[in-house]
Amino acid sequence: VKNEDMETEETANEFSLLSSDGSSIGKDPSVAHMFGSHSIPFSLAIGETKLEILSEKEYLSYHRSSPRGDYQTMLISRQKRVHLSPVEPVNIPKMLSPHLLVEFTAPLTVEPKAKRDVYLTFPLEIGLFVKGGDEPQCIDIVSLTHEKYTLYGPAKGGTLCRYWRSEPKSSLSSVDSVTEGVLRLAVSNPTSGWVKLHHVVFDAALMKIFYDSRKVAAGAILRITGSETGETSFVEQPMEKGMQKAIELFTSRKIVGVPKHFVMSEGL
Amino acid sequence: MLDKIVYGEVTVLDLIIAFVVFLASVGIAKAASVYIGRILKQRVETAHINLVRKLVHYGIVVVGVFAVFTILGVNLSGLLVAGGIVGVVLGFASQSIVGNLISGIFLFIERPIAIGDSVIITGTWGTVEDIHVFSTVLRTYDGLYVRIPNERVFTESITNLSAQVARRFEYEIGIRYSDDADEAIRIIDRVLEETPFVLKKPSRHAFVESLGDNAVNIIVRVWAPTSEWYSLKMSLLWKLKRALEREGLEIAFPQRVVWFGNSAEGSGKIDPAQERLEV
Repeated sequence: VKNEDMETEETANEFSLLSSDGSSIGKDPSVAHMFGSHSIPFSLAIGETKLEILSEKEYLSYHRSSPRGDYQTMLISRQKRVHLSPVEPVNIPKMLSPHLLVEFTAPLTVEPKAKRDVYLTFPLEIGLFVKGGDEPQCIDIVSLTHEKYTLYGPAKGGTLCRYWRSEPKSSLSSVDSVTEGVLRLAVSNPTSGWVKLHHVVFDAALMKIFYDSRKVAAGAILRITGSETGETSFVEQPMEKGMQKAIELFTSRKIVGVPKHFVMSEGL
Repeated sequence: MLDKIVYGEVTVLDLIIAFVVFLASVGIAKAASVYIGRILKQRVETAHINLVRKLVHYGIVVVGVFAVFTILGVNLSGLLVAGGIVGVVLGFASQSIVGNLISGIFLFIERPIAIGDSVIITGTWGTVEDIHVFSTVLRTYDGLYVRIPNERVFTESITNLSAQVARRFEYEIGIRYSDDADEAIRIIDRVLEETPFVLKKPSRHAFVESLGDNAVNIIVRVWAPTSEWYSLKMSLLWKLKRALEREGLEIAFPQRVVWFGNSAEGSGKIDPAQERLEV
């Protein structure tokens, strides 16, 4: 899928880069100017959420005001740049579980031996980082998405998941680039029976997110192993050439030796 | 040489066998002690591990010594009688200690609770602070330290509030008879949908449960992550009440409608407009 296939349209949730006095210095529906490195002082308005980071001698002061609450913190740091990056979408409002359940708006039935790509969306969470030392320090994470949790499986032994609802599409189409990322799901059904999919569950701590000037994207794989079971994992490569790799919060989960898939044993 | 009598019927060979048995018992005791230390490591406090290791070590050595006495022809009947009496005395004295120890071991095997779980044990609500060999320590929600002997923990019912990832709770909300219950349920459902920690699945429910004396009673049942259950339960009811009132629905309060028996003059009928009194 090439960039040209993706339509760009005016999104409901715009963001503005602001000058230090708070006045807007530009609006852009693409994510090009939001993600990446910015010099401090830095201000950003995403919908009704405003972020501001200022430098005061050897301190950095950060302030966020949003309908969901204000947040303020100070950092003892001489860093002059702040980095914005999409992060694994399981942190807001609280990191209760690393799992993400994407429910399909309509069931997707897969024929035996089929192998196709399906395009979904995932909730976008935006992390603010200051780099220094070996690891970037996350200052805050913001999101404009609807926050919801669900249980995958029974109350006894089920898996708590961040909940997201998405329409499965056969091709890449436009998304609200401030609230949603594109998830390309490679579905394969090596079994000999038809399988109906209602949702897909991932271990989002293993997610590999990439972004470019138009979208945030991740690639995933669903391998159906039975009429009610499957395995999900993430693709390590970007969906398209030239995409930047997002900063990862769950680095320790991605080390060698840790299982890199989630087994969907409680239904598809 | 080996058949040479040393004393009584004990030969040199018996002495050597006795010595080997003693050394073997010490060796077995040492090995068992190390093995127990390994399997209990990270499950039991070091002090308790040492206690169990010593008990096992000296127990095996004592058995070995008895075997050596038998080989050497020492009559243990008198010693056994004395030991039996001492054993009975010690048995009675240490009955509860041994009971707690055994219960503690079974608690480690069965694992109905873990450190950090919210539990109700013997009617005490709290968080499990520690599980020792002889006792379990709870920190009650008002900050008290409660030590419960393991025998009681094991034999009485345990309610583990943290065992599952999700918990359900419910409210009963009474609205006025003049209000639209369908509308109230729609408003309640909207608030539940907007609340992140009200789980999508298992499904939430809001329905008219009963037509009460003073109100139409709506039951609201929701599931929440166990870690967020208490804070959600504390905040959600007021949120629902405010949402209902914003839409013009009111929570009902106890009331009585009194009808006076005197009829309107001349008509023979009661005039509701004049004779009704709401209290």
